[in-house]
Amino acid sequence: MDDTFALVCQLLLDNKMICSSSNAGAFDYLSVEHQHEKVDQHMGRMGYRVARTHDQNTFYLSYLDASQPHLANRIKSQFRHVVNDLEPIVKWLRLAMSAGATGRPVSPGEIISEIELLASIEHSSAQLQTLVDIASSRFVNSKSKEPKGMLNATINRLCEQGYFVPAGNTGTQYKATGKWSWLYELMTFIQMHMALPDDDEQQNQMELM
Amino acid sequence: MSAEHDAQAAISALYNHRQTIVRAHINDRGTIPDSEDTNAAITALKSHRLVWFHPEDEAAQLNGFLSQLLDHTLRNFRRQMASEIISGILENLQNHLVVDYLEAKKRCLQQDQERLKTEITGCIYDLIDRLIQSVTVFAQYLSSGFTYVSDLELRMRENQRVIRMGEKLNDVIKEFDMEELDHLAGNDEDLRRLLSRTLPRYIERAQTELVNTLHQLTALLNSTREGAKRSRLIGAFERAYANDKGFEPSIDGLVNIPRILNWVQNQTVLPWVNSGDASAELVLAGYCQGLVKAPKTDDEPEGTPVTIEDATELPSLELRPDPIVSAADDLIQCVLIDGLKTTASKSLIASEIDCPMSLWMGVLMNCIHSLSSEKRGRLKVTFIEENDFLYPDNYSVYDIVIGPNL
Repeated sequence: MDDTFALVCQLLLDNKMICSSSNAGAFDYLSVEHQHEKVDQHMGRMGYRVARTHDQNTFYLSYLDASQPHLANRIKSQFRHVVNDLEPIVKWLRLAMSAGATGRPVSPGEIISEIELLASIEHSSAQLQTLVDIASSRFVNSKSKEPKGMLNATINRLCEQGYFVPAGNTGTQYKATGKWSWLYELMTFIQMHMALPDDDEQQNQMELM
Repeated sequence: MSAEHDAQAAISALYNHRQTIVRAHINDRGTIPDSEDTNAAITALKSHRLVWFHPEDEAAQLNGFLSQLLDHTLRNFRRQMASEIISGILENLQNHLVVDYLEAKKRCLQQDQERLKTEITGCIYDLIDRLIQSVTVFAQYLSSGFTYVSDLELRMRENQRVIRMGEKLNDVIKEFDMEELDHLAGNDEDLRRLLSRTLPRYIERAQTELVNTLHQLTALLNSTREGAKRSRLIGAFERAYANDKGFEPSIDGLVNIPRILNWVQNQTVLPWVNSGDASAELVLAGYCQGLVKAPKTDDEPEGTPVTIEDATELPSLELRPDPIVSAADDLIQCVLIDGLKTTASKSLIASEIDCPMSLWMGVLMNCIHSLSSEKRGRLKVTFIEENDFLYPDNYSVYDIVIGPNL
């Protein structure tokens, strides 16, 4: 039996998102077209299909026919679960962007350093307040009063949720996974669906007023 | 007479339609736009075979020879525009030093010859040095990631500016005509060594590095552009949450589920033992060893009774262990010690206890909560749940998956 095929199927059925950061072997396997088709056919017999994010960074399992009423209800329920925790994650994205080395929103494959983030947060009261908000949210639920404890709890929670994997041997570096790609796509959909104005549109509205 | 006439007519055609031709070469990559104004130019050039027609859209395209001629005339202009210092050194080298050196050599002016040779050598090494420096500067820009510019829009502008500078330098490097340098060196051994071997080698190396750096700078620009887009997206959500404290995205009214929402979650697949599989017999036998129970007798209750001594000096009570709690404890021990992974429903069937599922799940959770935090941490508990149809904030738990927390 093809071991990688079995591993890939198992990961997908365990609802894991497969990317080059979280599982390079499985990702490489699925990136080859005929192997992707093989897994897709196998999953198809169970009513699933292998989906991929637009930026090609992430594979995940989706329903073959999501229009069935019970699946649609389940998907809506899943959606509510995700959006329940969206606010602290959005705050985290902004915090990581302002405190991180690149100054850009976290992207798959990027390495974040807990030490660097902490150094920046400790020197900025605004960043510290954002961290307090995130750590005290239901999503992280940290009891720590120290920035280090709060940051650690937040990163651990994000690791649990599959957004980061530990990188290197120091225990203070983490690699962003492809789940961020999926989240950005989800947020883009929500933005369109809920008609949330972005910077330019907001400015235009202000000018009109 | 005919050949002379044809050539003159071709040059006249070029002169008469010079504006159209030059515009096409500089602005439209050699394509002459099809319009009433350009019809005469296209017809005249076609009669001298100075244009060809693209097979897909029939657009008139300047002939290769004509493009080469125009390229040649624009070469000096490009050099000056691209990088004046390098261009100036090259100009000095090609048009003065080498020419003077060959003249001095021809006239056997030994002293001038030596001086010019030293100058040419210095000039070439200066050129090489500047080329290396210029390429290094772009590599430094790349390694900085332009993080010295904090605003992403301004960072993109800076990145674009550097790419344009790099492209200009690349234009200059491309303008180095190796054949011309080789021709200039003639038969002079020293000049050949410098102009035909050393300089071309460095030019080639610099160009390879520069092109590679430019590709990476372009990739960085795309990535920053993506970052800026995502930053705007994050900003839109920040504003939504700031403006409306109860903001919660909803898709309740959606009829068709879009691709991005279609993902599978909480569909844990649990393997179940195939007792008919002979190859698994040995493994199963090992698992079953610890599960053998003594037959129950009605007069001998299971478990050791616990005596409760009451400080109020009332008669002491004897509590018999609850079989449901005992079964739940046993199950948790199996998970902790043997690494068993199972569900509440399957374990309830296996334990043969007469107890409703809801009570069994409650007892299981109570037993788990009563464990020490170290033991609790070794367990992974997943609820199989769904939102209530009428009250979506409530969850109906159908089953519990219990296993070791690996």
